[in-house]
Amino acid sequence: MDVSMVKWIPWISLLSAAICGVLCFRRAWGVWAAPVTITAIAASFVVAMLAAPSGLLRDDDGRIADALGKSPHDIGQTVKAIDWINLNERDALMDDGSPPATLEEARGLADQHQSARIIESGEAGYSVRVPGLSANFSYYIDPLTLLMLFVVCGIGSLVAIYGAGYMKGDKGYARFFAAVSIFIFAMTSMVMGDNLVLLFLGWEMVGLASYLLIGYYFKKPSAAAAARKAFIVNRIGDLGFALGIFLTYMRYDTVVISEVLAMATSPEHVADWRDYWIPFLLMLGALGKSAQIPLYVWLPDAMEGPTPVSALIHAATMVTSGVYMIARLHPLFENSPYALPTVATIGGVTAFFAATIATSQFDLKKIYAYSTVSQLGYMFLGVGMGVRYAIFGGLFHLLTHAFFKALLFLTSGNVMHGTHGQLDIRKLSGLRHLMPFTCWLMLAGCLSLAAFPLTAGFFSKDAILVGVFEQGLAETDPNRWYVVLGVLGLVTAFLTPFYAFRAWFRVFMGPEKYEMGTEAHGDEEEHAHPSGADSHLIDEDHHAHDDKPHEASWLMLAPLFVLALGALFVGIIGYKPVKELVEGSTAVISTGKESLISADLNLTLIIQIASGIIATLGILTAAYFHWLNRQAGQNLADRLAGPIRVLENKYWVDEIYDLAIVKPLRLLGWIFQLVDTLLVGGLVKLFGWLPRLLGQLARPSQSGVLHGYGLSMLAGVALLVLLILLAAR
Amino acid sequence: MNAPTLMALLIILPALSAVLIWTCAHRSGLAWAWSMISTTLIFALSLVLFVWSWRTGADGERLINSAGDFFHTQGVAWVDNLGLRFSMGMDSITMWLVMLTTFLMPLVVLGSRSAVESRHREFFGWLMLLQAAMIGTFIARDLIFFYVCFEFTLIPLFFLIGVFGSTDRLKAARVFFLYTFTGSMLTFAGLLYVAWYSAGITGSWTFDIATLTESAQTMSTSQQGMVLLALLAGFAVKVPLFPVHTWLPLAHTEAPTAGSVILAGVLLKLGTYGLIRFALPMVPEAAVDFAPYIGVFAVIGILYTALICWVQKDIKKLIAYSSVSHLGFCVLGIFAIAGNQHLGQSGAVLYMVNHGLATGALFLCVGMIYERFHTREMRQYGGIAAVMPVWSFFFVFFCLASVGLPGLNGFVGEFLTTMGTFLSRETLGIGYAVAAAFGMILGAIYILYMVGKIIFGPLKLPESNGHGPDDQHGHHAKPRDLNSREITTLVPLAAACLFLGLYPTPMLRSLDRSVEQLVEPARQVLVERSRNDEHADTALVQIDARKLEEGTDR
Amino acid sequence: MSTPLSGMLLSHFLMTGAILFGLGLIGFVTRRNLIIMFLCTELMFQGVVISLVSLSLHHGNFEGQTFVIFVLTIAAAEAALALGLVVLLYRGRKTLDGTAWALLRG
Repeated sequence: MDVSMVKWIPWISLLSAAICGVLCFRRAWGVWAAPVTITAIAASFVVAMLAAPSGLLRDDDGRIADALGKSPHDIGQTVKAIDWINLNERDALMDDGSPPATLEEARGLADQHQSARIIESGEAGYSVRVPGLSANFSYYIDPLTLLMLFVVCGIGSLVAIYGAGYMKGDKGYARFFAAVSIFIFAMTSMVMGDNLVLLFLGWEMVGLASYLLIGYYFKKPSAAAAARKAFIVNRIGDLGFALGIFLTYMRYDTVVISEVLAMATSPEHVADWRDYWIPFLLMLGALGKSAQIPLYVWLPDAMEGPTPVSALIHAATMVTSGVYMIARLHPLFENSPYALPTVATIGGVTAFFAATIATSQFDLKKIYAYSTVSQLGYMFLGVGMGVRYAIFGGLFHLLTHAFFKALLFLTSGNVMHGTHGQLDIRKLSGLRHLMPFTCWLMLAGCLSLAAFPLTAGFFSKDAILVGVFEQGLAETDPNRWYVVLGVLGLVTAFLTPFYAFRAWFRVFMGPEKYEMGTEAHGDEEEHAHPSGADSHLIDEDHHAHDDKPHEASWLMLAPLFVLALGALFVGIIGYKPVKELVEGSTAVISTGKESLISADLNLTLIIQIASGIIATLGILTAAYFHWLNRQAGQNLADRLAGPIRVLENKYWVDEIYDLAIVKPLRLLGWIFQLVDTLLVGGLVKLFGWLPRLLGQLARPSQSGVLHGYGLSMLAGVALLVLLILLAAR
Repeated sequence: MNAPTLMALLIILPALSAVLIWTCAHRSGLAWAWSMISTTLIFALSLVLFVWSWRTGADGERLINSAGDFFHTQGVAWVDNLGLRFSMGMDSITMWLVMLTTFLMPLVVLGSRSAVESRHREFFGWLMLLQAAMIGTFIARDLIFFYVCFEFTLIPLFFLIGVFGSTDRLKAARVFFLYTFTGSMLTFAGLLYVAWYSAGITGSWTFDIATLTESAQTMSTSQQGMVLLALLAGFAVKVPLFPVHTWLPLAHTEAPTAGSVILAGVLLKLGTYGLIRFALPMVPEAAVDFAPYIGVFAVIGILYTALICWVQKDIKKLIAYSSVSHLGFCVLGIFAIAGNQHLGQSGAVLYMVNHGLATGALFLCVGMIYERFHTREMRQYGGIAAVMPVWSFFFVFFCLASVGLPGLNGFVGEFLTTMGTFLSRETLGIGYAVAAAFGMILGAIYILYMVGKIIFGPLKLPESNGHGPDDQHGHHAKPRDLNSREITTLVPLAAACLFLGLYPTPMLRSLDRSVEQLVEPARQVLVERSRNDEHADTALVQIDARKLEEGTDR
Repeated sequence: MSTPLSGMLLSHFLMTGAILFGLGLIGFVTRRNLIIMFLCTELMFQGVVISLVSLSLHHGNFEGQTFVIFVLTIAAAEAALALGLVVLLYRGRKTLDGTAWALLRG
């Protein structure tokens, strides 16, 4: 298949979104939404896997060529679909805003711009025409895009299949799939976008899809609030992203990524103040979308959405877009001396910080949500490291995480489905006989998350840590801060298996005990109280017929097996191909190939052994406290009541934000409202009173009696006569 | 019939139909039907003109992409001694704004089918007259003709608000009228001064806008400053720019739906149109000098009104304040004058059209639920999505368009104006853009709070809405969702929002030359100044060199 | 118009006009009967008209006299209107006293 076929990938999903939108109108039509969406995403996947590889640059022996030192124009292909924002070309001007006067000046000016041409124009001298803003629906295909398309469309179709079963019977079935289709449109546009503005379009539209899906159960006030919070926090990040785009355009006169990267990596390029700031602004966007400190607060709340959404958007794909963006624009980040260290530090700290919170949450999905924040922190640590192996690690972790975290979320969706919404791990225990498949599937996910040796997570996380220590222990000019980050990563590597298995042992091991939840599968509409005040709750008797946790249907289990296989084996199978892909992408075009540390120190082996031991220790600790001797766990928790309270309340970050930002702004709003009505409105009123006041003064002169008017006329005439006489003299 | 005649018909037809409605349409349905037919006909006419303007001209370029007026009448003499003429012309900016007007009008009429209970003749008659005046403002090429139309828009709207508004309508109408009228009197003085000045240097009176623009540029800097202030007095009130915006929330809240839609959709654009058509090219030096200060007011307006929106309880008031915030971006874009690009100004024109579509549609949506529940209090609503899913879909859609979600129309204008501001280091620069960008966040916040309150959450409907007997039993009659007439009203707007969001390139390209022509004088000022600075620098260097020489001589 | 009015003669005419105007004004202020007051305004009119005609003769053009024609026409119309109004007012209050009405008081 020709590479130009990829331009259809986003539009297939948009078409599917439109169809699902139509299907919303009749409830009976709704059932068709799932097949339509699944077909669309699967078709995108097939097109992506068949068409995109043919556009990649290859070695003589058929492998994907290493990207080091190559131009982005060579390693990838651009495919244009339609115009979006495409402005006419314009005159370039000198730094002082004047047109070039001499040919030399014109040539110098033309050299500063991409694809400029010089025109001689009569008396005015020369003008240099450069392309205007061109931000089109045009797609850039390089190995990184291929990797992302694999994740987005691959995991996307699996989750959509799962969702078809999970959402069955829900009133908004078609609405759900319409939003999922919009999401796939936006996400594919984003990973394929050849310019920053299209990237931004995808960036914001995935936010929209996320908003619509978090707020899917719109009757729940908590869901509505979570949806709003997600959109707004993301908007804060997007503000940075937008400003970053402006600054990039100011610096490079284009927003086309391949052109920007080509200029940024050219040997003649001299970084100026704009280059220092661009990555920081873009980073703000990445922090918001990928839920890193300080903008991570929306992700845990986002679990209000249906579980397939949590799996697809808030674990596997959308939240990784920050990682993708940093990898895609890596050369820009390298041009600023403090950008990558900042990314790495934020990543490392977030990984640890979120992991500590995850250890003390009781809501299954919340645990995984904080775990996602933590794992994203690892990815940031990886791509922020600036060495090849770590970048590979970060992106490989993106892939493996997509598998195991989607698996974990979907299995917890099974639990939720089987127990009518019960997710509190204190109220569930020993479900392994009631939900056998779910139990072992989730174990696969937990092992991979815990980075148990030879599972997928093991390879990717180690790649990141190796990269970190490689930087920290480098022979020339080592940066000891990275050793600290590495140790932080190892500590987090202990916490991860602990919280993962804490949940698993609690829910599936130990004595069989459970409390059913109060939520229906989604068909609550018919039974809702007419006034709607408590419509998300459901009458108890409705579910009298199945008050036992039950295994999920085969439609839901089938995609989980695929995910479980991925979570276990993608590390072994995918290691080489992914390394090839990452090293052939724009992420590494300016990142050196040689290892920074001496060859006789076998860092990879040391880290693998260490982290294997750490993971096992973490699992054993969890097993002791949460399976074998739960009383001991309880005792320990009682003794550590203080710190645990801090963790349970998530360090009160939400409250602090509310108090420090939201409340003052709202207060300001009230003050302005007052000012507007009193002061500004008052001033205007004052202005209006002025003529009225004058009128009051002149009022007595209007007596209304005819003679008075006559007299004043007489006086006027007399005055005139007097004046004339005086003047005549 | 040639194109200029068609253009003249755009004014004559609505005025005629107003007269017809007033004199003949005695049955209540007839007035509506006639205005429906006439607005549709006018839309069709303007569509013909629009399609015509995409024709390839003599120079191998599409007419609409070329600079200057592509349709123009020589004009009919009005007062010969003073050079007054009824002359009209259309360039691409005008074309798009006229299209916006003619596109909105049939929808407004359609949406007002059940909005007024009595006095249909007056209502629709005034609407028609308003349309004539609005189109006249855009296509006038004679200053007095422009001004007459500009002012005449006040009268129909005064009556629409004062007669057909809600409870506080009289005050709203009075404030609206006095506010805008006072401002535009000053504008008139400024424009007359320009005409007088021009008569002084050319020797004969003319009110031709192009001629005046050319001769006004030769005014001294201080004269230009005075004229700009006079122009701002009228146009800034109309936009409205902080701090002369207080009439707008009142007028919007009290106006009937049709009035609000037209007010937000078209009338506010008369202000920004005036700024871009007169302020920039006529007084370029003053525009460059004043740009940073006007920018400050625009930015304050954006942030200040956005925060006010957040605490509003009245839906209509919130959207009204949001207009002030949005138009702040527009003004910022217009004054983002830079030496090497005019993204800001192109974006501003785009923004005018986009804001007209999205905010107009939002007002229509609000009108629809107001007709059902007779309250605009946000507190009284909740979880509407459960009972009115179609309405909710459209409302969320237009909210997102108004917030500037990429892929919908609001984004392109917002992006380009902010980008233009960011890049215009000669006048505004990065600080303004950053501040304005914060307005985007606040925009998302207040709109989503509104959506969250009305559409999400547990179902809550206003008490005592007087619909059906069920109310007495504490249960609400399930309100009916949008009927097909209402859907027909909203679908074209949604389609336009989506189309302009996904494919704005033709529009941007068509605007490019016309906008460039209007910005060119201001740009020349910048170039001139930087040259002078350069000369000053070289002169200084020479003096230094001479001093050095003198030093060595000694 | 062969001989323009001489300065001497002109001043006589103007004097007459001024006296007529003055008489009218005094009458307007002192009398209370509406009809008399109205006649007094007519008197003032005639004073002005005489000045216009004489000045027109003095300057040797017709502009003043053209004006006079206009004024006379308007005065005729005005008389009809004013007398009608007076009748109307009389019907309202059964009196012709000018001070009885002060509707325009501010």
